[in-house]
Amino acid sequence: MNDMTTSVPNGSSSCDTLDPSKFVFVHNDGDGLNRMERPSFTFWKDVKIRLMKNKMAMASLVVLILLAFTAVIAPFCSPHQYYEQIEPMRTYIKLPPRIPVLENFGIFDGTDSAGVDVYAERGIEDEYFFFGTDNLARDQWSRTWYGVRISIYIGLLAAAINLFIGVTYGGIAGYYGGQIDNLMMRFTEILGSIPDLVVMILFLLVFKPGIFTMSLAMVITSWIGMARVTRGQVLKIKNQEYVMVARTLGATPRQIIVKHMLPNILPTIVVAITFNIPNAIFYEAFLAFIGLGLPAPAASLGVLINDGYTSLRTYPYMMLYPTLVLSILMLCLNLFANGLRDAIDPTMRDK
Amino acid sequence: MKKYILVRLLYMVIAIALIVSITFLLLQFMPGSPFNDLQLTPEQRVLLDEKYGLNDPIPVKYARYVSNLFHGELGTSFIFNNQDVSDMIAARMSSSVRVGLQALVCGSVIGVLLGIVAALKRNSFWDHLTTIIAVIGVSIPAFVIGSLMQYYFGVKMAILPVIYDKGNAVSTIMPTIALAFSVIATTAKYMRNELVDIINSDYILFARSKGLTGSEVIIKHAVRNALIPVVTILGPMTISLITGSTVVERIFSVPGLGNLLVTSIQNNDYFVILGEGLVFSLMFLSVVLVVDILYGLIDPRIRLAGGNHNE
Repeated sequence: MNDMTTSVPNGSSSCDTLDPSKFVFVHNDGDGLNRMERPSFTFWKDVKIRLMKNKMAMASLVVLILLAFTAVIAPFCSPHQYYEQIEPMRTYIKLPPRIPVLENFGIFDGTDSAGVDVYAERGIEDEYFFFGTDNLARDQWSRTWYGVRISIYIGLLAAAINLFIGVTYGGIAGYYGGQIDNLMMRFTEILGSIPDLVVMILFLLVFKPGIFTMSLAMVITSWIGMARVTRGQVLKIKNQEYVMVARTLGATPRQIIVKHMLPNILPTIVVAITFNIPNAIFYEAFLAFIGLGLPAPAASLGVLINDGYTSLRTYPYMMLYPTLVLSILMLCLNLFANGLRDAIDPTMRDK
Repeated sequence: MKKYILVRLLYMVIAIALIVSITFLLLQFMPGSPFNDLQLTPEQRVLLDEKYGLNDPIPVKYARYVSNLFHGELGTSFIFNNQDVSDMIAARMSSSVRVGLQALVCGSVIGVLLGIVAALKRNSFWDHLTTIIAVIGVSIPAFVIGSLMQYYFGVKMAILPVIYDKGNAVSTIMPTIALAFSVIATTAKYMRNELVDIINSDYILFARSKGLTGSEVIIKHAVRNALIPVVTILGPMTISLITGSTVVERIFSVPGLGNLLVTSIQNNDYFVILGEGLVFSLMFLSVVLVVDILYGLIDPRIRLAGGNHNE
């Protein structure tokens, strides 16, 4: 490594007269060129670094964590349960939002759209409902955050089921290939040509809406996308040399799938799954809005928005806060998913 | 090409048969009866069940349903005075198609323009705007945009009619915008990315080196080529228009298919739901078929690959 700077191959006869002590080592202070290399990172560490650099994605992640945290502790901040109809209902029905401290700034001060202080009018000036109450005198604050819990839960559950079915199906089709693959993919093509909406509505008409059936309804069409992604990846990896070598060396299909394929298709699947969660939440809210929501008293964000919509003109805040929370949740989930996609595969980034 | 179209048609027929069978079977096990009216005596209920053939064995009902389908009959509504489902759907078609087409045309024109500007002036205000619209388009549901617009423009500022009215073109503005939002988002993003790829390609470099002016290159070579693959998002777009129409029509009281679907879901009106499902699926399948054939004609590589542009 050092010979470039020390050797003096000159060929001329005056070579012997050169004094080696006049030469100094250049660009070498001990550990040579090794210094130029960056430390080696594993794939996921690389992803983490790229993700951390993405301000939008990190901000979304922070907001998401905050939302999740609030969803856990917020219901404890209110003395009322999400299903509790506060008596007497005449007093507590459809109260506008009121929050301590903030009320002094002219917002959240318990006045309705006509400017009347409803809390004073009904003689409950010492009580606070952060997001107001709904048309059955239930605390909207508790209901909203409880709704966030349910929406997130449905999103995660749907993604998990989706992962299981989609990856298994796509994996089998891709791995075995040939006639099996052909048949399996034709089936998904036909199933995929039925609009999601129709399938979901029919499913929920038969199996009444509940948290689990809701999640299943989301999966019933979306697993096809997951299966396609997995199959594509498996097809790509299946014919690569290292898999061939493993097979030649006598590895069983199980070993090949677990040791060689899974780690390589994992990044793509992770990306697909992160987009799946907001999708499920989106469709859940959508179905609730057309009347296929969770039965009372359980409430997802979609159900709350639907309830609020019916009295939008007179009591806009009933719809406003669940809508706001849902929008923030969806935005952050999508932005984070975008960031993760770019971090995992920088070539997919928008140029 | 003939074989390609035949294969696509075959898939379509199988898909329709599957939809009819599955939906029919599912509906047989549906909880709740359309005759939940408490004023009905049990005897009356039995009579009603018999009149509508609800007690026949399932295969008989299925055969009857399929043979009716071939006559273009989708059954009768349980709720709305024995109206023919096909008549009900036909009557509501025009409003839905009108709003849907308006949204599709406005949305894709705005989307394409926005996408072009964003691609040409990267990292400019328009580019960021496109990105923001694209994220919002997939994040904020149409019913949120629709009801917020209705509240602010319709109720608070009172500058636009709150409710859809057939004779009044101004009243279609808000439903159209609410529906068009996701169309703008998808088209703009797709167009932008497609165009950016093309601008960086060799043939654009060649066109420039040939001495063509900037605008000539963009219009004749880049935009025209970028528009071709945009055709493929017509399929997903139809889906989002159908899906969006249900909520948007409910919000703005558009007497359309989506609105009918929501009402029939709330009333357990079996045949209407089934008929609507079939009509929606047919609409989607025909759009996909047309897009596939069009795309196969435009780009021969697709045909050779067996017509599967999903892979």
